[in-house]
Amino acid sequence: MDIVLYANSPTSDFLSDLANALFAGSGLATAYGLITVDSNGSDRDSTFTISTTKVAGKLLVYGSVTASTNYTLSQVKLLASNGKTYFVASPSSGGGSVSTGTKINIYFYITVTVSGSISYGSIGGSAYPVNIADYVYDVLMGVRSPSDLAFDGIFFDFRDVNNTPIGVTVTPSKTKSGNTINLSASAIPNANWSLRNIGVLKGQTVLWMYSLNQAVTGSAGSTVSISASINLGAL
Amino acid sequence: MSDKYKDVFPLIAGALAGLFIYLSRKKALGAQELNVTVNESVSIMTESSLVIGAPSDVVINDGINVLTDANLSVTAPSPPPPPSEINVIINDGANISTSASLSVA
Repeated sequence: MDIVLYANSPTSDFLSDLANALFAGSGLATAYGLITVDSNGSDRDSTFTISTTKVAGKLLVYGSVTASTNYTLSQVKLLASNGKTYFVASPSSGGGSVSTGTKINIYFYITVTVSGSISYGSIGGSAYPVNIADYVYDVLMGVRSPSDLAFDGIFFDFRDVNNTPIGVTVTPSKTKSGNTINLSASAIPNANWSLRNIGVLKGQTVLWMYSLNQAVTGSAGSTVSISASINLGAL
Repeated sequence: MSDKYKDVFPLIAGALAGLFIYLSRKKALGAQELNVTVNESVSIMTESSLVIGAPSDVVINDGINVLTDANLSVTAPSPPPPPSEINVIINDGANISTSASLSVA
């Protein structure tokens, strides 16, 4: 019997820790355990022997528990090594009845993505993830430090009139309020330019990108600025 | 010669003379002989067969040659019923939404 939980359940603790990691490079902890919860909201069975692996662009956290009593499985919690609960997944309807001795295999798939937009006048565009998901998964797996999430560069992918790259990387200014991070950055190309893509970097790694639907052009010496707000929420 | 042998000498001489006469007469009649020759052989022929249930055969020839067919049948104990098991599959995640604006001055 399979129970499929379609959940959008990152907790405020998880979102807060992720925001701190993006802003300051600290806070986000590793996946640590899984707990089943009955229909009364009581924790029932738990395991702290879990495995984590990346599967098709998702992070799979796997663990199994044996039901210690008869109950209706209504939620599954994913715990972090800092003692916080990072996800609480509930079934869209009902739950699953388990009886004493039932082995419960828990496949907890986590997806991290980036969505959003960019605009310049009437020209629109969109934001999309590049390496941010892998980096978040790596932190949850414990193979990467949360400091690798603290973006520290904005790359303006300028091209000259011959479409030769004359990109510029600058350090953004960042502010944080709650789980919202704001960034701003400016660059001054030294040749006539066109611009479509802007990357948010950690070191040399692009975490996510903004891409305009069409190129913007300008002359040498002009100041090109970007300001963005970053919000965290459920999938 | 001592005087004490004078009386028995004639007796001994007479006895010897009598024995000579007897042996002479016996030779004249012919001696009897029996020669026995034995030629014997013993042959022991043995044939054995040992049957340990059909169709297993044991044939012994010039040593021991064992031909045996055997069938071994093992009936495994009935497996215990599989434990009750369920899979819980959770699709979850987080989204980073961001909006940006570009300006040129």
